[in-house]
Amino acid sequence: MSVLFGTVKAYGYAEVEQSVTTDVQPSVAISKTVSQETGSINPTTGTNTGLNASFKIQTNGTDENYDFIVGSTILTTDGEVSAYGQNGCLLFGNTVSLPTKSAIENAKTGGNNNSNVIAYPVTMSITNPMSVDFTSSATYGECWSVKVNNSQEGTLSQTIGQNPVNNTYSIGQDEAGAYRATVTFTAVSK
Amino acid sequence: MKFKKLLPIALALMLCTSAGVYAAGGADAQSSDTAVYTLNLADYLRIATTTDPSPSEVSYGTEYSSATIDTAMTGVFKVISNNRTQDFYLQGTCPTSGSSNTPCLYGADGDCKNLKMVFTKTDNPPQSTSVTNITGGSPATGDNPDAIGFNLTITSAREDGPDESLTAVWDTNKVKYTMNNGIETFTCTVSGSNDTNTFSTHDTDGQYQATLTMTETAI
Repeated sequence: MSVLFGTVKAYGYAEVEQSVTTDVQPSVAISKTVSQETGSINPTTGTNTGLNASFKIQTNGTDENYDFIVGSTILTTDGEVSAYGQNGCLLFGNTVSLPTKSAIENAKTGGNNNSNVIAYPVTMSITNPMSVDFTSSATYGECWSVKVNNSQEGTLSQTIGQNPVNNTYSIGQDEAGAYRATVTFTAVSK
Repeated sequence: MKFKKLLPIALALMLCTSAGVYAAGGADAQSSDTAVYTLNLADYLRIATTTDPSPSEVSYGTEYSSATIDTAMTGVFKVISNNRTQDFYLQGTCPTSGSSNTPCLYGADGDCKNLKMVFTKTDNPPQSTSVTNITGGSPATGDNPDAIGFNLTITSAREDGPDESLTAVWDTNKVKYTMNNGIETFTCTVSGSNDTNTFSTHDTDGQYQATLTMTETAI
């Protein structure tokens, strides 16, 4: 048996390299910039004093990343429903004597049996090359759909027309009081 | 040997957030803002006369014991209201001495569709007691000179509104109506022969008149 005592010299070499990788996620910011959200209705004609709202949208995402949706709600005796009617007009409902869902449907289809519901036309505009169109989808229902078309910043402007949609204002059917509709511009991740 | 380090994903998220422009990215990210539009529809009430009654002659027999209106006199009121509950009144007056006018409706039935109304002479009108003698319900011909009571019928029709909601109650010397929002017409017709004990030779010849007024507040 033999024992060998000795030392072994070892030499090493280490190389350190750092690669920085940032995974930037698509992001979006929507904010209301200016608006006129209150007004009055002339009881003899049904015309209103004018309402509008503008929303600023900034995003590094695309139409493949987000659905950009302008939705609306109106409160009925059966809960909230979409406040958009034909051609994207906006329905307003009495906040005390709530309209029925059937009155809402009647107003949306151009009928004249729609107590406590008044509809006004809506005009939408948006900064080029973005686009906005009224549509109805399985996911969002009746809504205005915005396409950013690879643009990163723009302004969506909504103007409520002053004259009521035909057959939706009646001094005998529509009670005095406050009428309300809520509009929300949302970016939904896909 | 190479060591490759990946920066955690949180760094990228933090950078986006600190920029103060975009909402947080990622699979659940979204951003939204809301406009709540509110319009106030002001109260509205309009009461108008849509048909004025035409005057009529009155016939009486050789005994001068009764007076009959030759042609029924009809006036129509139209009420337009957008108030959930709206009160208004139908009142009648006839001319009395001293350039005064005296309430002249009486004898209403339960739903105020059939009433009576006193007409008084316009030229040298009688004392108000001639009228109150009749409206008090126990007229005596000698106590109501130049005042004659006739039948008044009122029919209403719904032209517009969510439902039929009209009520009518007798309120001292007038009719008080309450209705929901809508459009209602009221047809008021005076016709027939005089009420008992309101026509006699105490009633001199000439023009007799009464006025119906529909108002938001009692006169």
